[in-house]
Amino acid sequence: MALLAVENLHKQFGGLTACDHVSFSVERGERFGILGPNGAGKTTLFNLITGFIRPDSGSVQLQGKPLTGMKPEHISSLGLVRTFQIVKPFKGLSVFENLKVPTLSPRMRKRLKGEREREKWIETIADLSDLKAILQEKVDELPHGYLKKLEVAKALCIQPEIVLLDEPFAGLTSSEIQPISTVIQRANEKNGTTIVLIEHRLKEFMQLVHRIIAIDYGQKIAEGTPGEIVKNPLVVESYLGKGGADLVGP
Amino acid sequence: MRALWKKNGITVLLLLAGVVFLLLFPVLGDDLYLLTVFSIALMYSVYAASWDLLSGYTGKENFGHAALVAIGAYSLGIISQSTPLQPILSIPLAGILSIVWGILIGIPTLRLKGPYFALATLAVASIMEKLTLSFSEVTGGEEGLYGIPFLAQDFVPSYYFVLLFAILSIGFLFFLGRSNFGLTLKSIRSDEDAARAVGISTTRYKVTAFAISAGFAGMTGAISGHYYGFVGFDMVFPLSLNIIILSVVGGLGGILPAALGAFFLTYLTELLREFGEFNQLIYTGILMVVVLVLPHGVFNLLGDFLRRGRKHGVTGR
Repeated sequence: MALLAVENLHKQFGGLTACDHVSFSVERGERFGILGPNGAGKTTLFNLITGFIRPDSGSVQLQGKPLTGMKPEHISSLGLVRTFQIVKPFKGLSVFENLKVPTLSPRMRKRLKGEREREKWIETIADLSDLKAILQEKVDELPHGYLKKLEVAKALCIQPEIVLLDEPFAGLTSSEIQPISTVIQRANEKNGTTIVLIEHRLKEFMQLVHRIIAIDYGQKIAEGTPGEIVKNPLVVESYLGKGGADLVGP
Repeated sequence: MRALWKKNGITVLLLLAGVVFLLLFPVLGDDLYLLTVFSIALMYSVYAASWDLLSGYTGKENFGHAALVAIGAYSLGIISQSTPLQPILSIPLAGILSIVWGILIGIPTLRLKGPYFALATLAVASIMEKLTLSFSEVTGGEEGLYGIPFLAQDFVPSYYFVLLFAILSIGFLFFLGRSNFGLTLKSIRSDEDAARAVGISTTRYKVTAFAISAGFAGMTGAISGHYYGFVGFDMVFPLSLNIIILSVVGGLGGILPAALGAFFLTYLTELLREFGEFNQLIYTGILMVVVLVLPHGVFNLLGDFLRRGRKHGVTGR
């Protein structure tokens, strides 16, 4: 059974079809990419999957359990967590406190007994995300690169089965992307967390994911490995342009 | 506790000194006027602290805190017309009734985003205000309700009762604010969607905070009824705005700054009576200057200052 199964998901905003009967499934342990031009409906898809927006029709299942109609906090407590394109740190709090909030969710209250276990878990995640040195810093003063990492770390703190990352590299320089890409890879390989990724930084994106779906005007236009996607004529036309094949190398 | 002491040693010492002063005050002199001023100021501190738990911590500004005070005060006043209620019974009863009220009002209104929660609470308080006048046979209307048993026979025991209640309430709210519960409330203030995205049932937390906030407002309302032996229209309904001013001037999101702000501003109001017709002008002037110059509140800033002074000495950061 697929870990995440999206079937015929549909959403209309007035005359605009933001998500047009999209279906795909993600296997456990996979790093899965969603590709598409701006306004193609990628973030809407995340919002529909995580309960922030209700679909008009279609279904989302996590390990066979239907999520449609559930509230975002219940969906995340089942182990399906998303991050936001525009980072949402808890302002006025330290990095440690930011990471503590997810451990106070019902899911983690069941798994961590008492303050000691909670602190240890936060340290584990801080270690994994290279945030250990700045645990006591207030997030208000952190540079953008750290906030992007914190955004991922907060999601990992709920010990998710699957994380949906909405443009984790946006607004970063190439040298800032590597560390966060490493964190994502580590979470996937060490903790076995399944990753779904929206990204526009194509080079880094193509190196990171195993499988991709491409979306345009709310519709799924292609599905395949990075090698297949860059050669797909529909994807090249709508998004990549002619140089697309260079992105994955020979 | 130890972390609190290490980081805020001077602040803790100053607070302890303040509490000792208040405890010894009736022993040191017999200034009944100041004793009354302090009693009222202490009740206002609990109002501000209880308001801060919801509004300062979650950012959901309650513009109708008086409605919660009214539940406590008027339930005592109305019951006292047929059966005199002793404080030992009336205070928990007022607490329970206002908690129930808080939950009933909180569930529908705390889902509202932006300024709509503030508007809803304002509306609830105004409706209650109007109803209090319309049902004057029950509520006493503008005259209010008399015949409520006093807190104690004398000023001094009354003062100690209020002081003890204030210390316990503010202490409870303060440590609640520092707990994981308070941390979760702060995450809601910063970004509610982000909190939901990591599994926090934000509505449940907000309603719980509102219920606790309501409970303390209601209990304090009942205590003030006992203190004056009277519950009245003008005693309750102007509180909504006052409590916000007192808390904002003191500082939000830390319980103690709001409570201290309320205590000292109430005291200041009394001092300014000397200036006769100018007292409102001076009071408002002070408020405007404070809000402009110290937007985070007087006591938040003072706390930061004391902490930083120590930090430089110890860790040199």
